[in-house]
Amino acid sequence: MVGPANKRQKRDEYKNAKGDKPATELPKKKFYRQRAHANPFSDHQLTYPASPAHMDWSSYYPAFVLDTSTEQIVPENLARVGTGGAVKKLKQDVEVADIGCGFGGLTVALAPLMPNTLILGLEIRTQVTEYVQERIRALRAQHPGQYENAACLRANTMKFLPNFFKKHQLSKVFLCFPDPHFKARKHKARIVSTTLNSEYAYVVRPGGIIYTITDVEDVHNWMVQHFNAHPSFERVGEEEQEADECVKTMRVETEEGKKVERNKGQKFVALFGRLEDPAWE
Amino acid sequence: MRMPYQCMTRCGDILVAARGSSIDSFRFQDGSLLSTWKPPSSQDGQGSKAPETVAEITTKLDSRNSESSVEIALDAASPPAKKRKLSKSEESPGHPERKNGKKKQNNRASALSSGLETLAVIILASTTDGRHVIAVTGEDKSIRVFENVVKDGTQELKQLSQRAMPKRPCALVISSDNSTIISADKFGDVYALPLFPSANYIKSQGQTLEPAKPFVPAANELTIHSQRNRKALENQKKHTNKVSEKTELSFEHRLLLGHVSLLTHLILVTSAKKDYIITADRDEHIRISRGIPQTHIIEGFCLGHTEFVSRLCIPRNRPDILISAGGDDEIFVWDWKSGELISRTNLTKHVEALKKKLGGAEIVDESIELVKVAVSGLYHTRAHVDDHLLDFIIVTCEGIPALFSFHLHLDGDLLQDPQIVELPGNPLAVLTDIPLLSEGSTGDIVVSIDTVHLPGSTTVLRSEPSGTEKCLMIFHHWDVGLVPSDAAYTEPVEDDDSVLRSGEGIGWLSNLLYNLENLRKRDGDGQDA
Repeated sequence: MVGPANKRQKRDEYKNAKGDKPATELPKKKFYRQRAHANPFSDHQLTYPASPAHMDWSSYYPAFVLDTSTEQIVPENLARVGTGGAVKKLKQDVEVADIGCGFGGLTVALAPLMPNTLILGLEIRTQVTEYVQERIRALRAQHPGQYENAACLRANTMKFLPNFFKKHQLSKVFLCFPDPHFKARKHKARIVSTTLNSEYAYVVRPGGIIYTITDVEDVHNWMVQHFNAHPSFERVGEEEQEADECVKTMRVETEEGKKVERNKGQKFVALFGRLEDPAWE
Repeated sequence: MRMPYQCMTRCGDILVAARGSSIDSFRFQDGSLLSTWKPPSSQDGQGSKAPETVAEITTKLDSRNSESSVEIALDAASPPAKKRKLSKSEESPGHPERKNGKKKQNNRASALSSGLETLAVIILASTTDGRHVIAVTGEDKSIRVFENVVKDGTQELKQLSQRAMPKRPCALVISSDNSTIISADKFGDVYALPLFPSANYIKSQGQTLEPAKPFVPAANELTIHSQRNRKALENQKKHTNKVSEKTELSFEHRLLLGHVSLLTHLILVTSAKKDYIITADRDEHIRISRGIPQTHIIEGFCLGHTEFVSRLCIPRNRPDILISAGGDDEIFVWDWKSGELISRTNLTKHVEALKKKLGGAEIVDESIELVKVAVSGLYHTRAHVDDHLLDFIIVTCEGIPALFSFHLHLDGDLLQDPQIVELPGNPLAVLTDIPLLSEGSTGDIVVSIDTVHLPGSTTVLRSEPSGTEKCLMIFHHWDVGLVPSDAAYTEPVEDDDSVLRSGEGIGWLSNLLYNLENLRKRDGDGQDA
């Protein structure tokens, strides 16, 4: 097969030549394209921390590393049983997650909007993750001091969200243009379901918000139905929704959002607030 | 050769144990066999009847649950539906056995054609009042509830209900008030069902929004952009008469919670008057959720395993600690409410030592350089040793012919001083807290032994059955530790061991008895898309 080999060769050439180019040059999407669907039930070859305490964020947010080079903090119980090594602590935790960040349009657009908040894009496709990482690297070089709060890593959040985030760690979660999985048989693979919403409720603190946007009305109805059915969430009213700065950004800055714009498609937005847990019955 | 018992439960004074598709009941007191239950189909002439039964089941499944995608061209009159690969039908996506799916299916197909009854019981449970036994048959994913009828010294199991679940249950427990069955399946979902299905259950009671609506494609011209997708959409629109697929169970059930993974174990615990559900999955997670009715709230996770978790255990008298094990080398002890790991105890080194001791003669499948351990059982028991009531955690591993009995220290929460009890075969199931059989003994347990495979092997058969091996062994806890007892159960003489005479049957049996190692993730599995 000449085609794929050629494509791979070009990609390799491009990536090998990267070192010669200025660090400020943005990566080219055409060398990072990947099939738009990934099976969330497959094992893949994922790397993920055994628990949030095992996660070393220092390489993702180097500007936010807590400067205690002499005394690295190891969680007490991990030290006791000798798990993992020393983990460099950050000054603050990641608070915003862009789940299924794709080519990272929203992730990088949010960074200047919330300069003091750590934003993480999560993407299941390796090539695409790599693109976003390159993109952030270039943006950091172009604008010194900016984009230090944005990062991207590869993850299957449907399985491993609690491996990255502690209980109530996040204040905002974005679910933008998720894979619609049209067939009824594939509905379990959708990023929103009543059972999976419990995990979002676990990582999002009370008062936090889940942002959803899609161009498929069916998927929009599905997400609304399933979040409404979950007692931990309540839909945010239209007025409040439209006043939210992030909603505007989400509409126009996501890569998929731009594509829908070009094709004059529809966009359906819904926000859900995380309620306080009720008293134990 | 005798079919071994793959699972056991205690139902009052009666030991209930399943071998293949039959369920035997024994009286604990004297070990006498009380009754044997067999699935209805095997009563009337197995050879010709069995395949038909299975076909029936398949159709039933098909109509009940279109999502399961079991599709066999039984009804030629119906319009040709989209063909789906049969080998995929039973396997959930991402299931570890997917690679072997084809082979397994062939196994089953030929097993069926040879008239083999494959409705194996994979889980047994019972209510605390000893009045009901619950069994799960794997091939038809059914939860069967039996009444334990004891009358004039005779006993029998009478099937009251059979409910086919959407996916195969992997673990099942009964709520403490004996009213609810809680079942965890291989698709990661946990359901609650009433013990007795209510007669007046109305289908789709607030379950789904729409009644059978004509099919409307979910996509439209605005959501798709490529030439080919447009064509596909046009084709879809032509088939507007197609009724949209909907899954509906015909009995009362409630989805409590779900993982995006295969569930392996499930336990209920009450601590400080609060109920919890603890679930373990193949992706190393142990999840702590609130009990019914607030199961949608996750209280925490116990994270630290690096391989699948297969078993959980909370000692009865220590509801604050959780013991977990699976494909890792160690047994973990947790303060589960805070999610904090208290201790880890190495198990592999004891298994290695045992393997070395047994030597190559007994262990046949030796490509093992790195000993991998898959824990198949974690049981808590209490026994008097030197006039002290001590706690023990008994561990069994898949294909390892021994019991590992650790002493659970109350201070420090550590597992120590393992006693390694060698067995004449691989342990398949253990039942603790059985009524005492002899004066002065404490902590009696029953162990089910695999008499078909060689000790230490999950694939190689014993050459010549002596016919004297016991499938069920009783152990007493004396001061020196666990010692085998002379007491025995009157095991039924195998009337039909045709299953064990064919290669397919053996393959089927091995899959039934040993399936945990399949949960391990392999390198290169599930290549990047």
